[in-house]
Amino acid sequence: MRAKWMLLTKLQLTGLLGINRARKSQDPRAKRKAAGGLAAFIIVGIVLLLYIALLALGMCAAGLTKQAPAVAVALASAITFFFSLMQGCSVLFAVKDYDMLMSLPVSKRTVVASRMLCSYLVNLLFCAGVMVPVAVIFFIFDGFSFLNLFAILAAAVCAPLLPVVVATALSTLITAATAGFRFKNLLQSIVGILFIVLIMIGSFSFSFSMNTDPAAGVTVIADVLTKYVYPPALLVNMTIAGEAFWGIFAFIGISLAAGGAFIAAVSPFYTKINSALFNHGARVGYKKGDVKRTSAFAALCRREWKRLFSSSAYLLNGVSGTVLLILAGIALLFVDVRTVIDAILAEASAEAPEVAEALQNCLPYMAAGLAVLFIGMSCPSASALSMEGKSRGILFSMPVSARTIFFAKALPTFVLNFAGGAFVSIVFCAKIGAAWDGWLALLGTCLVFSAFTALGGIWLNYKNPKYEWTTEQEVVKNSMPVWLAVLGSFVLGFAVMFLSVFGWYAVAAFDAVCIVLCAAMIAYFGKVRLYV
Amino acid sequence: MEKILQISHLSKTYGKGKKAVDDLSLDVYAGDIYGFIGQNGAGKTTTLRAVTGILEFDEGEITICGNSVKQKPVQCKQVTAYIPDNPDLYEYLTGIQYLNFMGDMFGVETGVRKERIERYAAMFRIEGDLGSLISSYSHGMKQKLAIIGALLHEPKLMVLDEPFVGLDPEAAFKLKQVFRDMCAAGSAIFFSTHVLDVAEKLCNKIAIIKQGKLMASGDIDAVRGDESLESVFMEVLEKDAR
Repeated sequence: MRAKWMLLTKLQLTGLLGINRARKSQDPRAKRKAAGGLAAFIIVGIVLLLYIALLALGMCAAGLTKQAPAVAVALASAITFFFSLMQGCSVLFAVKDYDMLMSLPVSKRTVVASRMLCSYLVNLLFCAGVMVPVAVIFFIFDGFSFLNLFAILAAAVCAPLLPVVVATALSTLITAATAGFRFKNLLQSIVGILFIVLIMIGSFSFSFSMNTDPAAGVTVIADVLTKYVYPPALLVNMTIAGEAFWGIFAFIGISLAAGGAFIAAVSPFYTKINSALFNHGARVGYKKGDVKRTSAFAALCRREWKRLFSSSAYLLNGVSGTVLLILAGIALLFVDVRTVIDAILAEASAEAPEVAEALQNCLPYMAAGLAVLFIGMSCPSASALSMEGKSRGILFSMPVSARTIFFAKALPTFVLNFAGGAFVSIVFCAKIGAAWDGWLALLGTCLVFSAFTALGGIWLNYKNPKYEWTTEQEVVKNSMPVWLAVLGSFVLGFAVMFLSVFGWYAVAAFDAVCIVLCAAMIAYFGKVRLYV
Repeated sequence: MEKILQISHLSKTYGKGKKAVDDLSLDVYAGDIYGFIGQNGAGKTTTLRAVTGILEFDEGEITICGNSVKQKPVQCKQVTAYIPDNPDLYEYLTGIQYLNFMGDMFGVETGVRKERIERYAAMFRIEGDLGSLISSYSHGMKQKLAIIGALLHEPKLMVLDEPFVGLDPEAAFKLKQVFRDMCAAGSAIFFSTHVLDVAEKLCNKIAIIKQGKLMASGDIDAVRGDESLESVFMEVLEKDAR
């Protein structure tokens, strides 16, 4: 009979990956959706592998072959850390199956270990995607050796452990510290966002403070990643560079010890924290509040905002793009953008004056592409419908049209994205002294694309709903509509940046297409009927 | 008679607010079908969740078959089965996958597991649906599946929150029969209900809880005297209201 931690891990992975549902479902649409999801996953995986392989080739060409595996470990770990921090504690606490799980004859340690293992395994998949191409390129350039193979394999297997543990530990501290408060979800989200912002400000200020020679770009990035962003990667480097055989064993030891220590430390408090999180009891001094009447649409909108702020996972994933845009805007306030741009243009002008002139003209349009990219980074409307979960019947049985519901669900996405986009656009245009057409292009694109992502997100979610979930994370971060919205915006953002060299009419054409698609979606929503 | 469940001076407060359960004590013996009744928000579910070890409590002690829920939670859970009022089952599993999972978690041998699944699935008439995803089940079918999963390891103590809600009359009748058979074999049932008729006809012991405090408990005949359970319950509710 298998160990209980294995059974629990398998159970969670089965739910997370959706393979069982696709296999056992009698609905052919579910199978088609699963096949589509798998195909998209494979395509994204191949693109990632190729991209990482190109980066590794660049490093080897720059004479950094020996450092490549350690840089890959550091890169994978940094990304894992960031996404695990965004994920918060939703893997560990306040999961829907808590009651059932905890009534089973398993120890708290087993439950915590299985949940951490599940999170680790998902991140391992990503780390393998980074490490495998780097290893192949490394062996081609450096030659094969069993010691290096062992070191790279061990590094790949252990790489996600430490970042997952540290990020989850930080989230657990936030959760534990805020669990006793009335507005704990909002508080957790705010502290979580502050943490992410602080980390980003720290890394930005660190990057700016480094007096580096641009010519040595790759070397500097490799150094920053391994020495400052993720120092344990140096241990991997020590073994591969032949400096210290024990480096990789120290790396394994640190990673495993961190995992073990975290599980041992959190397990005794697992029930206590969950009990505090599930505490929805009315207080002694509870006030009923006023009874106010409002329109159905206003009531739906208010409910959507409350839903967004009621879940730290939803909020963290929903406002990350907006926060980045606002941060970028604040950063621009303190940077003399005009001087920096003039210096770049002067350098470009010396080599190719016509390129410099073209760059000068298309700056606001390129910025529009960047705004598109960031605006699409967070799209809460792509999971707003799925977030209804099992209680969707309440909403669907309301005497309002599907279009009204969709508009209410799209509103927070639109407001958040446009607010962030508009802020950074205004600061950027003012700083570079843009002409009226630059202002129009940038602000117009922010307005139109915010509407497009809000409506597109809800359309994607309507077409690919996921109402049965155990953790909100499955919907707000790992569901297909969210991925499609984020990746789609990424591609569109780069497309706009590329097309901006053709001038304002390229951006105007992009905006026009978005407007037409928005109109088409609005018309389509009028025909939609919502069924459980 | 063997004491299966002992709750001593249990108290639980949510946050800084009022006490959800206040100094509650009761004993459940082998062979007891113990009904737990009270208004909405009286503290029934909080008590049941504390008994099953999924909710941390502030004061008091709970033991199951002599083991403390706080000190030896796994041993307690091994002999307990819990069915919440709205079982949130793993909807991405099929019925049989869920039952196998429960069997694995409680260490039920394959042969025994197979026999019990067949017996109970036939009893509750869901043998033809076990291959389907739980997401396609009705509320009643999910309830039946949760009950079968809970019965797989033949628990010494069954803790149920409103077990008859959603069940069809035949399944409710069969479940009552299962309760009686289990109690005859030395197990105990502790369940909450709002249906006083069910409690009156099925239980040999009863506890009435009001605003977290135990108002009456013991043999059902002693609690109700010459009156109906409904009258006793209404009297208890109106005691402070007058």
